[in-house]
Amino acid sequence: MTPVFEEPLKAEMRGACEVALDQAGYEVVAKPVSFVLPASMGLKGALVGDIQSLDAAGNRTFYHLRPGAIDVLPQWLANLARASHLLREGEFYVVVQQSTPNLERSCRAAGAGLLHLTDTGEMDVLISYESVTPVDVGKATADRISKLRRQLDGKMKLVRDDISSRYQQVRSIVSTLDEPVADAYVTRVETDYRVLDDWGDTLSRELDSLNVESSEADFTAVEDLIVDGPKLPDEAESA
Amino acid sequence: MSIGDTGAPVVAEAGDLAAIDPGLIVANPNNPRRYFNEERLDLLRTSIQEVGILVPLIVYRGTDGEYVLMDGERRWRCALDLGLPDVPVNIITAPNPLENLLRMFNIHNVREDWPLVSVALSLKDVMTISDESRESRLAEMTGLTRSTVRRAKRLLEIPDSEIELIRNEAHLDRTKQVHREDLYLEIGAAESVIRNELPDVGRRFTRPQIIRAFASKAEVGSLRAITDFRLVSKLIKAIDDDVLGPEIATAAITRLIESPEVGPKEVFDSFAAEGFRQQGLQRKVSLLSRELIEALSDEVVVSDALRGDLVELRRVVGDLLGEPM
Repeated sequence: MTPVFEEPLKAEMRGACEVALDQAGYEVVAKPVSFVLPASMGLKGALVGDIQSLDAAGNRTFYHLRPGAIDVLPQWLANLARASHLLREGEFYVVVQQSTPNLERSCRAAGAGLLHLTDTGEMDVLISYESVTPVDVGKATADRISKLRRQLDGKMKLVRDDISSRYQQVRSIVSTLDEPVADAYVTRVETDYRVLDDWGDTLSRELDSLNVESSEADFTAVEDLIVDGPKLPDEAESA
Repeated sequence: MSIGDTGAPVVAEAGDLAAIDPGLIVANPNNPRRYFNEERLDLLRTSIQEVGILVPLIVYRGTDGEYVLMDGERRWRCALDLGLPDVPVNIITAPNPLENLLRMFNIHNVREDWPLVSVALSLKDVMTISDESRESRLAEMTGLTRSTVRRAKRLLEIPDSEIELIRNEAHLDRTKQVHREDLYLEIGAAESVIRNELPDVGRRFTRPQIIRAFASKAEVGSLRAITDFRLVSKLIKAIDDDVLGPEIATAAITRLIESPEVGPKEVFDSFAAEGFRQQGLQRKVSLLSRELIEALSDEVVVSDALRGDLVELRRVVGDLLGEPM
């Protein structure tokens, strides 16, 4: 069932995928089953997928739909792909409308299958799940990436709290100001939130790109960006 | 309601800090942004997958016993995507409708950048419930800028059927939207000018008809830029400037309304552009005449170069007017 709040582009993609699966002879599971992630991974949640299907033999497949452009597999999906190889409850596919060599590389590294949903509503296999095995990232690398992610979380919380504290005072601050000045002040706070979110998204993708082949310089570059934090408009002006 | 260790249903009530199945939570009906861009949630999904939800969501019990989300929509959606069995929640007393709306504004608007149409519709509810319509007061209540309140109120003046068209495209990239909010703000302004200045047109066409006619130009691709609707005001201003007679302006605007394939720029160029160009020339000629008279008094010695240019000017003017000199 499509959640009522689903992004329309994703809802559209879901509909097209369900038709494609049906035409290919798969049964779309009406009530997807959750499979709790292996405790050894130390992660929360379960493997569910946006869509699940069963073939005639009862073999299950998990599909995660990604409308729009995507250049690297996000870490949470990479984790689920890895989990699927440990759980052995079914094949794991990411479905995209356009692919890139980088995305394909990251899917292979995580052990995710990749499907391309064509404009004509067909699903082409770009990477077969059976053909991929997750690359061992190594505990040290995984821990390092995880540590950087917590650093990013912390930095974002710090900056967000600062912006929020200013936002909470906005009403009293602007109540005595002339309209253009008041509006400019409120807009600046709003812009700060957006800049922070954009920065977080960019850094998250940088972290998603890090892997066992990344050099020390790659790690250091991301760490430096996190330490520097987002360039909020106020700071940029005063710099 | 969730299932406790004993297998018995557990009902969490106001004041409780509890862990409940995210599937039992429903989105707040007053948070009109019902979807999030996929990539926007990736950072949070990974963090939650690795460390869980650290800050409880805020919910209240709805009239049917459901848990209505007050704060934490992103975390809630991530929890569903990640298949979390439960999420931490703080349960608060159900707010009254106005409190709920205002809290949604203050929690969500800034951080999630609602589309203007969503702001406008929520603002409409705020105005109805609070019986408040002053811009400054609404800005204070909602935390919006006064100019946003003004734009939202202007958007609410367009017909509901057009608002629906905007809403249907609000999730698309701006470049892919046809029924854009700023298009309608421009159209609304142009329609008001027409109604105030050309009563004949106002009597012949209703406001919804004119708005529909203008919006259809964006649909069929006859609009060069949405700001072209400003040419409607300029065209009507041509009456005051004696560039156009009111009957010609009426004919021009009528053509604009009745012909979807004709854009404002085309109409302006056909009916008023030449008039304005000549008016501009007239001003320049008049200024030049004054300057020449003031500057070239009897005592001033006119240089040969200037004399040559003036003679040439006299010849050009003579030729143009058919009076060779």
